[in-house]
Amino acid sequence: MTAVSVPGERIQEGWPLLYPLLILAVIAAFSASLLVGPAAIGLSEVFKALFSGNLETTVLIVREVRLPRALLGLMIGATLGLAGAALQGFLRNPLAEPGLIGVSACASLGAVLTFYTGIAGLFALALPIGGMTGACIGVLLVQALAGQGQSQMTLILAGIAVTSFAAALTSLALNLAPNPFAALEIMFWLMGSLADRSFQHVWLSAPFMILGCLMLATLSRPLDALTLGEDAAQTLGFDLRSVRYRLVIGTALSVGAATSVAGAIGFVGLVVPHLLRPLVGNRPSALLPASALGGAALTLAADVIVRLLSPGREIKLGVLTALVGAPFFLVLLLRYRKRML
Amino acid sequence: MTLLHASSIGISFGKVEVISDLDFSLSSGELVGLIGPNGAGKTTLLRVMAGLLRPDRGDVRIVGRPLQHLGRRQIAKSLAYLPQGGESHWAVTASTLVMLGRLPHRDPWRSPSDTDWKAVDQALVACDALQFKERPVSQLSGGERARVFLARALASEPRVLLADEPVSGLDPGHQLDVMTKLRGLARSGAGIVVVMHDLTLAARFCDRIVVLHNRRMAAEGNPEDVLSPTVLDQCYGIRAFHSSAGGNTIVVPLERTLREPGHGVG
Repeated sequence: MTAVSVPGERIQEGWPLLYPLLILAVIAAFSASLLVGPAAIGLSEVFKALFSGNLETTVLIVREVRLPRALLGLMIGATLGLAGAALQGFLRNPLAEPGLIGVSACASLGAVLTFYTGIAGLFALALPIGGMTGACIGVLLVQALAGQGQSQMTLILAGIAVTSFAAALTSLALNLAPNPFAALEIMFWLMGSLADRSFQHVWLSAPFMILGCLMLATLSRPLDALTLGEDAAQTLGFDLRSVRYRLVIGTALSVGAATSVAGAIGFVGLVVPHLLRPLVGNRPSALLPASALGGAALTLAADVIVRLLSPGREIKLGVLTALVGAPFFLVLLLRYRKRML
Repeated sequence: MTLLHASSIGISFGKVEVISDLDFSLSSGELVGLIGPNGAGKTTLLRVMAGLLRPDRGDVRIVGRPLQHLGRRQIAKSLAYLPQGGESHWAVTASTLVMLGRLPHRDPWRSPSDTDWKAVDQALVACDALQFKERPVSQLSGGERARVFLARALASEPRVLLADEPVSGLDPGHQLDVMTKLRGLARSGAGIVVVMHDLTLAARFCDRIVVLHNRRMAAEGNPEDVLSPTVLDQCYGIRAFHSSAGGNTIVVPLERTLREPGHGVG
């Protein structure tokens, strides 16, 4: 028997405990990120180190090594989760992810070129600057290739073309690497990691990530309207050309900055929105903040796990997310197959 | 009062002219049936009038103001467009989907107000869909979905509603419900254009019928005048059984005439 609804009654969409739990998870993962590392530092000492003016080793470790790493994990995770949710909403495809429009591949290429040319060795910020330059060039290319329209198909095709070309050039750089060490350095960087990042990296990337995320956050209503398709969304008052523009620029700034400082961290932008979507009642607008929180929690947690798994020789963060992400993809596939039968 | 006026509309896709020099006007309180064979340009005309396609020639005015001078949001406040076959890409609940119809009226950063919730429920009640408002649209039957999508269009309280085949795929009972609802909405002052294929249903409910054929308006007027054997032969290439019962025109297609459809009227 179906319950008869009362007119005017408001419906609670999604799962009410989701936000408190996600926030708790982010706080827990962030704290764990400050606590875990080669040097054994207790909880109270971490707190003391964060807020005292001393310059002891403990204070230095917490403030200069672990805090920037945790902050980057938080921001990069949130960026990847948010950008993934925005792209899936815009393309109305649960398999879309931030890398799809070429931003990550171009940021990687830009960073790799700084290694290849040796500029990376000259000053610390050369690498992220190279990455962001790559992301910017990539996004301009994608926009130019996709044309002035609003169609999602041309955007995907342009993204695929630019991604493949950037990947080919990255391989070429590896192929022609001046010496084995340069090649090894490039390989390690491509795997994606948050190890050995400083506050310089935070200050350099944070403004772009924040600006990009703000642009993506303005998309919540048009993404909701797109649930009904492009025609209906336009007649509900949204200019899809401007929506696509904000999406591409927002993703380029935020994911470009994230990739420039941490390398390619895959699957977060794909898996997080996918897992959380049913829990927010499938609304694209509700998925944006949830996915940002979920992405932050997952990235921070994964970064803690890589430190715990093999303290001596750390597994790269990007390798771990891919190792966990690929089986997840399989589960998705099996679930879809079951639904088809 | 004229709500929507399209004058000398011409549009081509590449080298193929789809509509040529067409005039159309819609008044308040009117339910207009837009009919014609497949590929006659009905959906194209509807999309031009909704501001989704810019015509190569001519212009469309809503309440006297040219469409191209209005922002999307301004258009959305007075015009609703119901695309053919309604799609919902995510499995949202029926009430969430209907609430999307309130987007043109809502403050960009506010959650839905009491007025919004009231409008949503009224639209759901009007379309006989309140009982499944909490169910995901993906789990509804075709007829139920059609009613939810119509409710979405009604929730925006439009002055002009352009509906592309809103009754195709519905059982006769729900076809009557939807058409009755549309006529009621017209009677309360809105102007409605409905694309449809069921000639008898069009004749029964529409105040005026417009036949599109060969890029132009082939006929326009009262249902009984427009649905004449000549028009049906020239536009659809069919011979039909005509009758009338209780003041309603009944048209039952019987057979193809020899005329090749699509090339009848110049």
